[in-house]
Amino acid sequence: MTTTTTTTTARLDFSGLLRSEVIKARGLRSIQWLLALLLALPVVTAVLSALTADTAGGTHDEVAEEALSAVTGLSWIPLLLVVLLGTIVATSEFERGAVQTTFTVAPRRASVVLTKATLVAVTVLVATLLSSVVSYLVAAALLGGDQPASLGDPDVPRVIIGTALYAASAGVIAMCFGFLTRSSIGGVTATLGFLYVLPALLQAIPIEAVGWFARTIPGPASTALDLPGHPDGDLTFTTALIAVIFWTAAALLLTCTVVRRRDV
Amino acid sequence: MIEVEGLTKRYGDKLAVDDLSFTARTGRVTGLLGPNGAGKSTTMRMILGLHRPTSGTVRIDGRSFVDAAAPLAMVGAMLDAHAVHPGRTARNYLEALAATHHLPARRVDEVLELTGMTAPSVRRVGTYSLGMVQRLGIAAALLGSPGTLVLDEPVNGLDPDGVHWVRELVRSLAAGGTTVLLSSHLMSEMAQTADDVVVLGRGRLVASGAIEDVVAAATGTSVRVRLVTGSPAEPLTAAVSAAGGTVAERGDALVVTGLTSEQIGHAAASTGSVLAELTPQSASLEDAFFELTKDAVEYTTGGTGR
Repeated sequence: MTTTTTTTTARLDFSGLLRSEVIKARGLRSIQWLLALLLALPVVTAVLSALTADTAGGTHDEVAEEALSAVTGLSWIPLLLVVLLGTIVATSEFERGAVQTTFTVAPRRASVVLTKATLVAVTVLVATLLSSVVSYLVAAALLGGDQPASLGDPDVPRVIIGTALYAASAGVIAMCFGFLTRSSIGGVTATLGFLYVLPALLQAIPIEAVGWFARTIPGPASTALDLPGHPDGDLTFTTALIAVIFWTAAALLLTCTVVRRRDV
Repeated sequence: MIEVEGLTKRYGDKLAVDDLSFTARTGRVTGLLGPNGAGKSTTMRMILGLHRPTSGTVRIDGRSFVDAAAPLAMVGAMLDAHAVHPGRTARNYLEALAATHHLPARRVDEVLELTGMTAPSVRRVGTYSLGMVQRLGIAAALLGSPGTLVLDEPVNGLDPDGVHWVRELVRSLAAGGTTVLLSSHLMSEMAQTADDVVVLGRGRLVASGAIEDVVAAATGTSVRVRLVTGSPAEPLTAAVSAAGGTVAERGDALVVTGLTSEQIGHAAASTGSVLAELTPQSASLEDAFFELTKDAVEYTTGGTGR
């Protein structure tokens, strides 16, 4: 139809949606707070851990191990923040029905789910990498020693990258459960239930195949990604990575299907 | 142009919209009218693809809205003005909407200016009054300079100034070629704003067409006739009846239905009756509405339910 205003050609695409989601995320204080905590808290816990460790006269390997455990020891704290962040990115849409506008502007709703997933994955990946590296370096500096721990020490790159990948996956899965349940409490509960409670229940069933299946769920699978050393019976790094990516993709597929079909 | 064909929506046992067909024409303001629960909002949701019809189709300018390359420029909508996260500022909300379609930042300034929301736009939406929320909803609907506007109860909560402003706004947009569909249960408001009306009752189409036609059809036009004092009514009554009109006495005047004032004038001349008054009576939309929907009101006050 004809309107007299001359505007640049309006077009809905992925880059526009992504920019829109970034603006939306910036506009919410809850997301700002969670992101700030996600960056700062791991450093605080690493400092506390390093200050209370006793590595005086320890070998290089002992110091490196202590520095790494300063990063991984309390890694469930940032993970909880990531689950909250992912959930809120989705459920903020259901606050007072804002999703009506969102889906009127982007009637092919799957694009909204995928843009939000991209935003969550990239933000969490970058934030977690950053805070892990800083935490490790700070812990290493505080622990000191004749041969201080460095980023090149065994296990360190795997754990730092693995932690960030698992966090990104958990954030996206939380976002999916936020969309599916349309409630922040529901999203967080469902995510933690899926990541930790469900595999624990399944592993209690004494059938080999069920146990193996349970170990592929991101919660248990992540131990090969983000923990130093390899407990027996765990997946390899590559297998664990594939499992985590597979479950994330499955959650996204389910969410896109449900969101497209549902009346809002 | 919005073309609705055979639209039906069933929620479980309840038929919210039942085989509804109508057209909202380009360059005109079409009012969707009906009592609470008539299916106005459900119909609008289906037009926008938010609810999936049980059956039936909706086309906007001949195309499906869901597949639009630029939905925001195709249809601007305000369904529920409160559907904004209360923690955002108006500016953040509009900038996020504009970003989806790569609209320039000045477009946000323009719609804020147009709706008088420039000053409050830095505050969080949760602090707004009902009228401000409503203005923000209209600003969002106008953002993409859409060819079609869909507004659910746009004047709800606005003060008289605001009501007047919305009326002028949609009239001028329609004059510029925009298709405007708005809903209301305020008949008087519709009478001053809409060109066409679509009247719904319990999800069914009750009447549709140009507003004058719908009102006329619902109430029948009548003409009030008063003779000068002393002039006998009998000859005129006979002539009017012979021409196919119906006469009812009301005080010192006659009310004629079924004939135009011109036909009555001719009848009076032929019988030598001297008229003191000849006034066409137009029924109000309010009357038409009650007449049309009296059998289709879902929540009857003091009633026994369905």
